This record gives sequence, C-alpha cells and structure tokens, in this order.
Amino acid sequence: MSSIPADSTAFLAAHGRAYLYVLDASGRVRGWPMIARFADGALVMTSYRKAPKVPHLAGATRATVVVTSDEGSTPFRYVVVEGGLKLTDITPAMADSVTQRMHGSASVQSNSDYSDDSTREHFRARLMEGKRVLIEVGVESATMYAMAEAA
Amino acid sequence: MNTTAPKRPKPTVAMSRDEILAFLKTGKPAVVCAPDSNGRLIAHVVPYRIQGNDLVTAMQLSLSGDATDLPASDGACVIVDTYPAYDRIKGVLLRGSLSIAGIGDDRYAALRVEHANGFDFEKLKKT
Repeated sequence: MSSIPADSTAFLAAHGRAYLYVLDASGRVRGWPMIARFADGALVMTSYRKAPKVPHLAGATRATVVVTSDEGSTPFRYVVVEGGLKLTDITPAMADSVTQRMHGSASVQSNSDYSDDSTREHFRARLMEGKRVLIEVGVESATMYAMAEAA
Repeated sequence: MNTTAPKRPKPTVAMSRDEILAFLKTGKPAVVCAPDSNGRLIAHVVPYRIQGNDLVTAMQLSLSGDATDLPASDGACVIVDTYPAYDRIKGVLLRGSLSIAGIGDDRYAALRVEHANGFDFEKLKKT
C-alpha cells in the first residue's frame, strides 16, 4: 500500500491544473495539459475519445502527472505523481458518477471554479453524448516541490 | 446553378512558429518531463530563458533548485501554457532532446525542438 504525504494529499485535493505524461511506443515522452481531480486515491481526468492523445494513453500502462499551484502563485509549488494508468469509455450510465468525481455534488461545493452548477451540468451533458473517456492515474507516489526562482 | 453556400474555413487554434516563440517569451513556467536511463519519467516545473529567435534551439531550462535531477534525453516533452479562462487557454507543446550544460547555479538543459505545437483558444473568437 502506498503512503502519500499529507501535504501532497492536501495539495492534490485543492488544485486541478495538471500535466499528464506517458512514454510512447518509441520510448519518448508525450504530454498534455489537463484538468484533474483527486478522488478515491486517483487523479481523474477526461478527454474526447477521438483526441490525438488517446491512442498514446491507450498504449501506456503508467503515467506521471504534475499538478501545479494556481498561475502566478508565490511560492509556486507542484506535486509530481506516479502511478498506473487506466482508460475507460464513459457510458451515459456513468455520467453522474464521473461528474461527481470531477466536479463534486451539487450540495457539496468544493473550493473550485469547476464546481458551480452550470459548469457541472454542462460537463454532465457532454458525458451523456458517450464520446469521452475517463483517464485515471492511481497515486502510488506523490512528491511536492517548489519551483526555483528565475535565474 | 450552384446553390451550395460557400464553406467557411474550419476555425483553428493552431499557432504559427512565430506565435509560439512570442508566447514562450512571455516567461510562463515550463513543465518538463524526460525519461531517465531506467525509463522512469522525471518531471519538474522550471523557469527558462529564450536565447535568440530560432525556435529549434532557443529554449534553455534552468536546473537550479529541485530540478537538478532532470536527465539528458532524446525524448523530452515541455509544456508552457496559461489558463485565465477556458476561452483564453493558450499553450505550447514542445518535444525534442535535452542536453545538460553550464555549471553551478547556471546549470541548464538546452532543448532541441523536433516537434512544436501551439494552441490559442482566443483565435476561435476571431473567426
């Protein structure tokens, strides 16, 4: 069982800007900016199934995710997460549970600009189209850093 | 008689190389990831400088602070972006090789860019 430092767990719960990286078939890194939510011990993201990133994700079993402070924060902190990668087609039947994981429930507002009612409903409606995939990275390790000042 | 309405060009968010270089010069932090010799991905957020106007060789990533373990690699990926609002997302994805140079506090990773993509969602408002 992994042991994630409490400060990293709190950081992941409070921040959503993320950068997802995997190794491609040639051993080179591919990466994409994402919005991620920390839920149930995993970083949870979504993408359109037809997005160019999805074939690369489908061919990978592990991922590294960098979750950062909000833009312009001082000091600028970030947490590097490593873990197993899982892709799942989002069916309309999963729309409510995925919306809950990404945006919280209507009755429990998180400290996030992604959790207002209109954003949540818009997100859920897109999931109901059945065109998106769920991307989950299990948090096996998480290390917090502070970005160095510019030289 | 042709009654088909003229097609509008498909809107694109893609940046030109000049636009990519101009965006990089705004100095947002770079999120860089490269595999080490064991295939483990090493990732950091670092400041960088842009030297000259050739996108292929312009980026030099600072390796001070916590980023000293970033390895030389021919398969690195660098992302620089900004997200003030969904319709103003702008960013650059660079892939290429990293070579380590400099000493002490001026140690840096020089990126040689092989692939560059830029996206600017504000372009959708202009079409």
